[in-house]
Amino acid sequence: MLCVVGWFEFNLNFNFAQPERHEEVDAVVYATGFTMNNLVPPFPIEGRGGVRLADAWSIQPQAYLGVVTPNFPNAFFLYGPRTNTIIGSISFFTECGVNYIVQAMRHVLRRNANVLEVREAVVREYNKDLDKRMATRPEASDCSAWYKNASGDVVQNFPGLMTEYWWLTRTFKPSDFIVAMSTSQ
Amino acid sequence: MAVIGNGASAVQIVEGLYKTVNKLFIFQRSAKWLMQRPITSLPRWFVWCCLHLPFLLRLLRWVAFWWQEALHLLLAGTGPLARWYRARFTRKRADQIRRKVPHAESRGLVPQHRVGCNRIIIYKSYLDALASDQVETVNCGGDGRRLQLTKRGVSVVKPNPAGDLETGKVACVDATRVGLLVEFILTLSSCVGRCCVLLVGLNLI
Repeated sequence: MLCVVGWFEFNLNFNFAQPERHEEVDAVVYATGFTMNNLVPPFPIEGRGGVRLADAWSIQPQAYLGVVTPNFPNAFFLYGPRTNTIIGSISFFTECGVNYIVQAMRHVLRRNANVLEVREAVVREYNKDLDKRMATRPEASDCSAWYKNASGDVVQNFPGLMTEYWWLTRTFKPSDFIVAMSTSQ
Repeated sequence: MAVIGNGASAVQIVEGLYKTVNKLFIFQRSAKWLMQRPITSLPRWFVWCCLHLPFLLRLLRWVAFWWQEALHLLLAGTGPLARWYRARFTRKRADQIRRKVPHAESRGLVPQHRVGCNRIIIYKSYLDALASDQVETVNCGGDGRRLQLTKRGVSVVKPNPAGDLETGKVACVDATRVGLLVEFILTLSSCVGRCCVLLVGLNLI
């Protein structure tokens, strides 16, 4: 099923040399994909101390299980960094993420708190481990792919099975988080 | 008509349009690994069964899940079984492309990279499209090549920064995947999951 979702004007600030090849066409389908390497939403998100998510995630997005990131208390993400896979279902990753987030919220409410923030050391360790495992994966081999960012690092994919991600998100671990009560708005 | 890209969206667009146009150019950077959809449509009786038989959908989802996990282990693993399967997988896929599409090698349609490095494309009739007279592929990857969109068409060029401004129109198209995950499932039995656990235990995958 195809649907044209819009038209846009394009401008090219290049003056190219003689083309290697030129094809005259009456329609161009721009099937060049989505902006996958910019995981930051198009609206501004500010964390503790005025940290902007766009800055924090500009090069190497660091998140824990793809759902939480340090310095951004109470912010939860679905299909966040490292929750894509080469074979499998993204919906399943999202379902696991939702399950984890609901558990996290329940935990905060039970403690009569209103702030939940992941510990920075936990995120660092988690991402270090994933980076190490990614090195031997097919995604890390040489090819052009939207799995990679501009510097060639794979920041999209989870280097394991869906089962492993399910296992990691199955139970919320309070020790990975700082839970607090804040009176400021 | 020109389609820029050969990813999941492009493949579905090409499959849907190639019979209705005089000429279709596919501008690609590099060939992708392709997997054919085992089932392309669901019969009505099957849909009826899914709606009315208890636990059937759950069972199908379970089978699909473990099939995908097994495939993931085999394509991304480093053990001897995974290496053997990967070699067989790529050989068979490459042979299929060569068999179905004339001059596939010289047209740059046989992928050279490790399978799984970029997205594996699930297709329905893409190879038929590539083999048809209407479709022509244009390789525009490597050596800093870029595409220039002009008012009249698309050019493959080497960039030269600074200069004039060109303006034209590009259709921004979104393809909706009409397939269901259950399309994958009837190919392997539900025992795959258990076999996988066993093979991982034996360090074969």
